[in-house]
Amino acid sequence: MNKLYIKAPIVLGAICVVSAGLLGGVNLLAKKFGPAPSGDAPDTITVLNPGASFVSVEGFEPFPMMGSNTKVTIEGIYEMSEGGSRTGYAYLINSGKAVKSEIKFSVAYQGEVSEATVNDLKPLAINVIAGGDTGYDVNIGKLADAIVAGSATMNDNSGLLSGGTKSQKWLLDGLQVARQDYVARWNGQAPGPVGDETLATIKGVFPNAVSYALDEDFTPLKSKSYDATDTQVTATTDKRYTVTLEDGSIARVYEGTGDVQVSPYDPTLASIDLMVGYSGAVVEGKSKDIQPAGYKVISSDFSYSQWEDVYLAGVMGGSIDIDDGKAIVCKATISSDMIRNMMVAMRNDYYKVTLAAQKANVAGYFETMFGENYKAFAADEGFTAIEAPLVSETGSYKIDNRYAITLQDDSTVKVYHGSVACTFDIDGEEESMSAKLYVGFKGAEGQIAAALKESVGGWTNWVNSYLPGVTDGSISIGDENAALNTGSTHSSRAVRELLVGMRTDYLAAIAA
Amino acid sequence: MDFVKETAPHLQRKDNLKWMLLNVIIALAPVFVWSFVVYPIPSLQIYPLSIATCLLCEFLFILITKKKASEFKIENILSSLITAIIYAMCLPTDIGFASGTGYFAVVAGAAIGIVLGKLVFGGLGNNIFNPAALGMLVVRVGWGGISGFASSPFITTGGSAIANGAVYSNIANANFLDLLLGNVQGSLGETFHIAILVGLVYLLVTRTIDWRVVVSYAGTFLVLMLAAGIVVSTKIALNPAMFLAYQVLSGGFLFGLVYMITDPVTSPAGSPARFVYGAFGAAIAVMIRLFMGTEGVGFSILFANIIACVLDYPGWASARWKKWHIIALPCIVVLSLVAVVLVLLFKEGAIA
Amino acid sequence: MAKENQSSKARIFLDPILKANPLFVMVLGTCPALAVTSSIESAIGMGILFTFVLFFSTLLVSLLRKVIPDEVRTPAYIVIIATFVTVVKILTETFLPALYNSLGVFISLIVVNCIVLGRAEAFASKNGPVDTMLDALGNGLGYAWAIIAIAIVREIIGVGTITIGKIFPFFGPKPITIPVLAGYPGSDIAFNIPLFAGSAGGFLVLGIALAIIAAVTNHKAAKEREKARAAKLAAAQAAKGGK
Repeated sequence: MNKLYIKAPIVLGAICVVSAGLLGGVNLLAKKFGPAPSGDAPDTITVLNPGASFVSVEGFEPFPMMGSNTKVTIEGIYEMSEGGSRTGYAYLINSGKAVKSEIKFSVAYQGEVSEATVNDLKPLAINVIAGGDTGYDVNIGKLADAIVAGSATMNDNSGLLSGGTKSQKWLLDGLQVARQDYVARWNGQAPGPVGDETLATIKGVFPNAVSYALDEDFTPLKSKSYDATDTQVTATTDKRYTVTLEDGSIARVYEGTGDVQVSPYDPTLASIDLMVGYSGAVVEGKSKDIQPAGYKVISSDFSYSQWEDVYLAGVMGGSIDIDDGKAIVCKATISSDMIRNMMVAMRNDYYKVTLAAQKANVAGYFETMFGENYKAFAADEGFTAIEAPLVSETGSYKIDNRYAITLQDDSTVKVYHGSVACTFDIDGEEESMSAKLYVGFKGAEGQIAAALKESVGGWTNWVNSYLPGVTDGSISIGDENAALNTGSTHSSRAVRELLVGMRTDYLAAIAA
Repeated sequence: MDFVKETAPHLQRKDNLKWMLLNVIIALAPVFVWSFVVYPIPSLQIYPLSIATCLLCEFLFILITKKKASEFKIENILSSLITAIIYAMCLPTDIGFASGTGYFAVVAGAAIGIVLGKLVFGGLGNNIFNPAALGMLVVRVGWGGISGFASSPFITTGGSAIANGAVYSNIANANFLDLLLGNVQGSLGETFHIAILVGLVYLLVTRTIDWRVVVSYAGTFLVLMLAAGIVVSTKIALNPAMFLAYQVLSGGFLFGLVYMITDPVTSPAGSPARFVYGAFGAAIAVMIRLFMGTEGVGFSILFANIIACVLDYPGWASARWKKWHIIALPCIVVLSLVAVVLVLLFKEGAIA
Repeated sequence: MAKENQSSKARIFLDPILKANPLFVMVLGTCPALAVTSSIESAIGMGILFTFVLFFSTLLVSLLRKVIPDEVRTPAYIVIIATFVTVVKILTETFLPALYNSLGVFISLIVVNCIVLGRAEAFASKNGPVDTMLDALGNGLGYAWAIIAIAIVREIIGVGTITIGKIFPFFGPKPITIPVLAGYPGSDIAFNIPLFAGSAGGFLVLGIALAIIAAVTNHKAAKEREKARAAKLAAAQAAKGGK
């Protein structure tokens, strides 16, 4: 056997074994002599106030808390004391990843404070451990120095320096979270992890929320918008909660997330995690009237805040219409556009699901027809179903129910539930249509107050042409020829006969 | 026999480098005047800075290398003037002079552009890269954030309004007359297309630039953009001709075509090579515009400058390469680029 | 003989620092030179770690050079180098976490740094341990000063400030930022060129450095040639005149 075949493996093997031994030894060494996680506070804490002693609070476990922009993790809390008595607390904070790396810092607060004076309290010292990105580090440190010196405030974004504002906002969040904890802790409470984070966040949307449940059968919505390089990005609304409010009513809260590139030169994605809440009844056909009831930002790292300060504020206030694609604001256009598209998707889903729920019970139909105006209904007991063949078309109609609806202004409307079906011939092809309608009549002349289609089938052009016309009065159901202009002559004629039948009965009913 | 080493541009007519440079300046004049008229204050801020920087750098270079100030000939002055003006025209008008960084950016860009783009390679006639494009690149990469290089939805990247994904549907609303006449926000010199076209005609008539580069660059660009337009029109309701017109009239396409890529020093010397050069540049410009949504003409000029060296490789003339090789190879390269563009175009979701 | 030995030992140590500088003359190890030179302290840290790895791995290679069969020398060298790189990584992570965070993956990439394998292959496998140690120190120092030089240029021109004390807290717990071109407290003046702080800038600075060195070398060589030619001419003249 070639000597090489023996020598080579032995040598290589020996080298490997020795390496392994060496590495194992170094590892042990490192564990033994590395920074000891004993009761002593790490250097990053003691540097805040040299001369004071820091002791970790009992039973401490790192926990997260929501700041205004991001989730902040408190990784250490130390009680600061000088001369044997407590003077304050020091915190080890990880504000999360703003740009490329996590923002970690330690901060010490000292002195008396109460809920009323909390905004006046500024940190004793801040020590930035890591964070931001090269070039931005300088500004986090500068901002921290300015806050400690008092020349910048940590209560809002006014003191932010230009360049790396994302990272600075994350710093502010961490400082505020720490201060929040300090206020409580100084005054004797020991706040820990927020009980139910989700409920807490939902309460940010609906302060009077009592309980919530995640909708298991919700299929995530996708909304498309464009980023700064004009690539289409998809934001996902992946959670929907059904929330019960204090007064027993149901609201829905959607949580949507998205990542988008807001600058063409920086491929770092900015992300948003937003909860939007909707409540209240919907009126069919009027989905665009639905206004969001509230929102809560779970996390966002868009550098410009106009998407929230201007766009969302305008949407909430009613001055900005989310269906208006041009209303997205400059300076935060990409972010506003993503929010806009997300909210349109959420709103449309809310409309769909609430409409379906409303329709699931009959009262729901009336609610849908009359919206806010609706007050109560009662079925007309004495009504007998009417059935008749169509005169102008081949088919028949049936009126099965009549209800008396009371509106908020105490006026009454009679709503008929009827159906019609007919067949006709178009260019040699046999077509058919069918419809189930709820139609409300009011007034002495039998004006149509509202019409709602429960279901339609076959030829449906009349729904968009004839039905709205008779509903708003521009087409008279007495006019036999009105159906001709609708592009769905046969169906409209059939529907007209149904409506005439209903109105005849209505006039008879109110005369009685 | 005296052998005198000549540097590019290799001209047939004697003693005409001066005239050639003068012709370029004359061709730049309409755009120059226009930029002064429309943007008086930014012009007053940008032009003097860039001209002064370029002239100073060139002068210092002549002093250091030739050691005699008298060597600073009229050609040097003219060529640095041209570089300075073209560079200034590429810059956006709102380059953030408020904080003073803008002034520094203009000067730094001009200095780095002319030093690293021209002077370190040997000065006039020896440069590989277009110094104005390089300067524009420095400013864009370094200070892109402080200027209007990108922010509004109607996208002013690279300086002037340019069509891109989010806004393809807006092209139908675009006012083409505005675009043609330069009534849109943009760089100092890229927007007034009529003046640029006048310059083009003048340069072609006086044979200062080579029609081959113009034809191949413009032709490839038009063909590829038309294909893109057809693809876009299958997705949204947009006339491909409108798309094409928009792409041609927005951004730095015409400006780069007339003044930057045709620079005889940085173009390859051989005539067939110039066709390949133009085609290559246009393909890169199209790719950057369509798939990265930002102005690609500046970058495409620099890319094309790189392959100009390859195209001029004297080894192509050796016996190993038969004639059909020499024709086939560039055709393959250009066609494959075109194919890449087309394939990416038709890929789902490549452009909105 | 002793003097020759000494001067040759001095040669071994001094050559890589200037004449045969691994980065500027041999153009090896350019990848970390582009990546870690955005800050001076990272470059200093990298230089130290690199020298450490180079020193110990080439020493071990030199000690084992008669034992390792020729055919398997590459895998053997790689294992040795990788071991020391891992040792360095563990130690850095434990004792200098700021450096570890800033260098990141480039500590591991020392394994594939051409200089280490190159010196192991070209020198350590053929020379004794003492010479190898000198060579390693020389190369380490040469590489270190080269990347520190690039880092100084890049940080001053690209970022505008010099930050000390972040990784090596010699001056107290807080890092000191010395404003040079930018970052003067209370003012917005910024004369730094951000291009140099990014990767493009790394390439540019390295290119400019190589160009300067090439120019200086060519100039020197041209001068030498001139001198030689002049001397030859003078000799020819003298011979002619003498005749």
